[in-house]
Amino acid sequence: MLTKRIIPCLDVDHGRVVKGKKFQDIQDVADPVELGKFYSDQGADELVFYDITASSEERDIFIHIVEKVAEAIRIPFTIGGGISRVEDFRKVLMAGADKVSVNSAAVKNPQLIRDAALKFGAQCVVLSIDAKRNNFGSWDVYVKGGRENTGIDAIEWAKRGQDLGAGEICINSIDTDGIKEGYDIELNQKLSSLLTIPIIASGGAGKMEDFSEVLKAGADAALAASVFHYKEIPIPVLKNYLSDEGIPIRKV
Amino acid sequence: MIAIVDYDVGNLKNVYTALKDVELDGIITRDKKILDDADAIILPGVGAFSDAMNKLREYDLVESLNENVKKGKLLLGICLGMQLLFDKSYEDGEFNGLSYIPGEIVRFPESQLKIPHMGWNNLIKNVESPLLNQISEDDYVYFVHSYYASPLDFNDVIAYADYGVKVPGIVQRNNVIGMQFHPEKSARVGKQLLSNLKEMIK
Repeated sequence: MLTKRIIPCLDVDHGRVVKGKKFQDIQDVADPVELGKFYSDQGADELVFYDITASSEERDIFIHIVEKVAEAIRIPFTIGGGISRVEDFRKVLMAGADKVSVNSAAVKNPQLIRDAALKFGAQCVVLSIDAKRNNFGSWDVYVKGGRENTGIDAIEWAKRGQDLGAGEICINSIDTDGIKEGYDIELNQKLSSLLTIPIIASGGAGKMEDFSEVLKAGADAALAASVFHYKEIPIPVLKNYLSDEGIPIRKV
Repeated sequence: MIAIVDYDVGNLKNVYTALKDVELDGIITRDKKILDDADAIILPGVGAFSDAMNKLREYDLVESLNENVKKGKLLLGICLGMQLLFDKSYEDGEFNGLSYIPGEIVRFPESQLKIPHMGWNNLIKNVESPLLNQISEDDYVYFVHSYYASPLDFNDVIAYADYGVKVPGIVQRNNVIGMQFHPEKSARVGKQLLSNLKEMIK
């Protein structure tokens, strides 16, 4: 039976993981390679590395990290951040990434999704959407790290992304992100029933019940950062809990 | 030495790296002499079926693969590489494959299930095989695909995954083996499978 996926997300700046508390089990918690390997050993189903650096020299450092991660871990991983051209896809895929996530650049140029899917296959194109509730009972797409409202309907954009060839949608709810009171269940439920491609829920995980709730609502995977980095929820404990809840889970 | 066929279909380095884990030396190549000299050949691949077949023809590799298979050399197709081992695929048209295993590549039937079949699924044994040494039905491997193999003879399926239909995960006919999932991305279980494969190459 296909299992639901648990995906830790690592923000990388200047070659270092941004958040993170000291883990006893590993020496350098800020080393993306070591932390990635730790999560992989703990039973993470995939990893996401998000490049939050801006300058182009630092992009090269990041590509080098992608290569080192690919050598060190044997689970799939996605690279996001700063991807705006087909050439950016090629670079990170050749460095060993399995999937590439696009966000603002795809809003500006939707053709990027189609071009990348045709060139590298839909399976490696993840459309990441930052969505925020409006006053009309729907959600708007935000870009530039959640600072700018595009006025585009998030559900329509997700459907369009699917039609353009995205293999997966990562839906990050700005309303719930960082608050740790659970994922946006309604948004994930709506998307899951409307789309035929898998959905990754993101933003809001605070306790184990939050994962259970969103996965039961139809999300195929749940992404989280701080609950893992601050060691509030160990992945093996989470997976046992979800399995007891009757959710299909890969145990390690 | 294991030849990893380089025909411009995605990153092959991950396969090379995973072979190192089980102490197998891989060479990423499209040199026919190296294919002939190799102890086994791996045909990886992601992307579209017709593009991949066209690339194999463009690099004039089909005949070399045919000859090596005829000689009895072990050939492993991974993901799209496995689909190429069959007679034909209906992905965006109708295209001929390498025809080492009778059967076709078809789209998943319409259902509530998400397509692509993406994520970790367990392998259910269909036929006894040394490929399944130390692999149980609680072991998961990483799949990502929108089309699946429908073999003429289901006895060519060593193990399958359940996703609405029986999805052939490992197929084998004589010296030709296919894995629909990515062993190089399947953590400990993938390593065990590659280690089992190594025992068959010896």
